[in-house]
Amino acid sequence: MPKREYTCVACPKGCTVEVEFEGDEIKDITGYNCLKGKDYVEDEFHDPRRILTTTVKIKNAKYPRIPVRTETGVPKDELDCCLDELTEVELEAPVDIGYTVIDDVCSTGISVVTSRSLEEVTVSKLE
Amino acid sequence: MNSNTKSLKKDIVVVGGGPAGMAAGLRGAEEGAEVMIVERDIELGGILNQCIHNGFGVEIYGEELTGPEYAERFTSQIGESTVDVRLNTFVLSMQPDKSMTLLTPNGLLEVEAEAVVLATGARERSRGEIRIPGGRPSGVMPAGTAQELINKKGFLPGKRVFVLGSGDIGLIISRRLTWEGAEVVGVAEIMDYPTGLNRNVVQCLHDYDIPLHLSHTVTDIYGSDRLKGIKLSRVDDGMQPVEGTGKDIDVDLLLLSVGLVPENDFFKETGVTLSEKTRGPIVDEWFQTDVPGIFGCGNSVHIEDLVDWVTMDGFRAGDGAVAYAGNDSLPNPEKEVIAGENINYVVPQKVSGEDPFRFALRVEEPMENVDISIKGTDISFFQRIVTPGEMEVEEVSKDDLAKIKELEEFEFEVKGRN
Ligand SMILES: Cc1cc2nc3c(=O)[nH]c(=O)nc-3n(C[C@H](O)[C@H](O)[C@H](O)COP(=O)(O)OP(=O)(O)OC[C@H]3O[C@@H](n4cnc5c(N)ncnc54)[C@H](O)[C@@H]3O)c2cc1C
Ligand code: SF4
Repeated sequence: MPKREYTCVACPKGCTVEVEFEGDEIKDITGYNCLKGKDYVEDEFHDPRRILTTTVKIKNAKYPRIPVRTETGVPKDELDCCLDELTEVELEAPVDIGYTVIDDVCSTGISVVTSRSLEEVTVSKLE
Repeated sequence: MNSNTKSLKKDIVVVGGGPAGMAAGLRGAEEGAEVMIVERDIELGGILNQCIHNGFGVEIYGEELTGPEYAERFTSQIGESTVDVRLNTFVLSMQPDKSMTLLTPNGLLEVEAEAVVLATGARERSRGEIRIPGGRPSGVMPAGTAQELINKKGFLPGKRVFVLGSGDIGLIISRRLTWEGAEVVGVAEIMDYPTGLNRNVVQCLHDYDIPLHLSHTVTDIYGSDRLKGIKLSRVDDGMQPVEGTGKDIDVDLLLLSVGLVPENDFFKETGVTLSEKTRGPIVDEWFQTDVPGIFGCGNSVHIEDLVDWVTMDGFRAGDGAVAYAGNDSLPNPEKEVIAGENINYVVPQKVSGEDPFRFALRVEEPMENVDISIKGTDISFFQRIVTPGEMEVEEVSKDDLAKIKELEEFEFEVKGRN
């Protein structure tokens, strides 16, 4: 039966947890030291997700980039697609914190929002 | 005094507008003090502005905010407060009597303060401090500098990257570079365990198959103008490179993530006694140094791993500064706090024993199932896992203190349970 190894991140101990599986089904799971770890690895096996934090371009602000984040975790396999979609975006200051940049990134149903505000800067103030 | 120099008086001057300084300043203003925050950057927020990943605020807000989100919770409160914020302003010099000269965009400004809070953060260790032999090409920089270039400027400083140091900064920048399209060919760590959080090892390295070379270091740097490559060597138990293990790797960027050091210049300038362990000032439970009325908080005191503790320490320092500026005497910190068995350091290093206090400590070695306790007392805190990479923070309560009043010193120790 195929096996996959995970390092649990639910606490600093970092147990190595081994999953035996058939297709999408976990047959056996060993090596965890507590139930929190078992839950974590089951989630990681069935639907690994990550919060994506990156930046997008912005005009008329004191920086040329503004940080953004996905509101919740996106499927790990969609991270590349999300990054690609975000390189196409360009905002224009002023922008508020929590402003929706994309509302359904890569058809995940998850939105990407700004994680800070940036006020408008008139050109003469830029160096 | 030059005739163009203006002068001002404040109850409290806070130097540094990162999370530590913002908390101290806000608390001071809330309690009615006239507060000025001096920040050399173009905005408040400090290092948080470039830490765009999530993981901030778990202890205080119970959510994982990004650095900028965490910062904005405080900058917006400061905007509505009475705090006098001076951006683009450097402190040029500071005297033990808490008078100082500032360089502002409009010229020099003399300020006299009743109390000063030094919340100047930390700087990254540079190549000179770890002595890597080889050439001096461009393309070798501290990881934090690269983080700032990428996250604020949108500039990618290299395409094939090697990272020296497995602390959280090194791990997080590795993922960030990968997301930006660079190839991180490896991370080296001189210790035989990663120094950053396990979660970051998994989510920043394993997720992208970036190799982590434990017990390895960079022993040569190639290239004259531009970095061409590095030599990676294994180290022995004494952390000395083992001859014959060197391997050349072609890269155009080497990032150093080899530790932070408290920015302690103004503590030195004002004659504050520093700790050899933390390189920051020796402080009491109000974060007051041994120069009366000079306080510190955040990374300028010791390197913290969670911003939440930085904020709480800032509030506490703010309270202390308000009391000092208002001539309410703070209790005398006559009891020494000692780092005993398996403890690298404890902050604060002295306390009055009259007020409950939070302490932060780092252990020397990773251990499991331990009691963190005060020697000779029954005050102890159980921890399932302790590692040097994670600070332990606990609070000694009023009830605890009542039990140990007669102790002259508090010796903390970390011992395994059998
Ligand atoms: C890469 C990285 C990742 C991190 N990740 C996390 C995380 O996931 N979760 C978490 O909780 N914590 C994290 N931290 C830790 C946390 O961000 C820091 O502990 C915290 O920001 C320190 O705050 P500070 O106010 O002491 O210092 P800083 O934020 O460094 O602020 C110091 C300020 O002082 C100013 N200053 C310095 N000298 C002068 C001077 N002479 N005159 C005027 N101004 C001056 C500086 O410009 C700066 O704005 C991370 C830190 C780093 C570096
Ligand atoms: S399995 Fe439990 S003990 Fe092991 S790392 Fe995960 S949470 Fe920690």
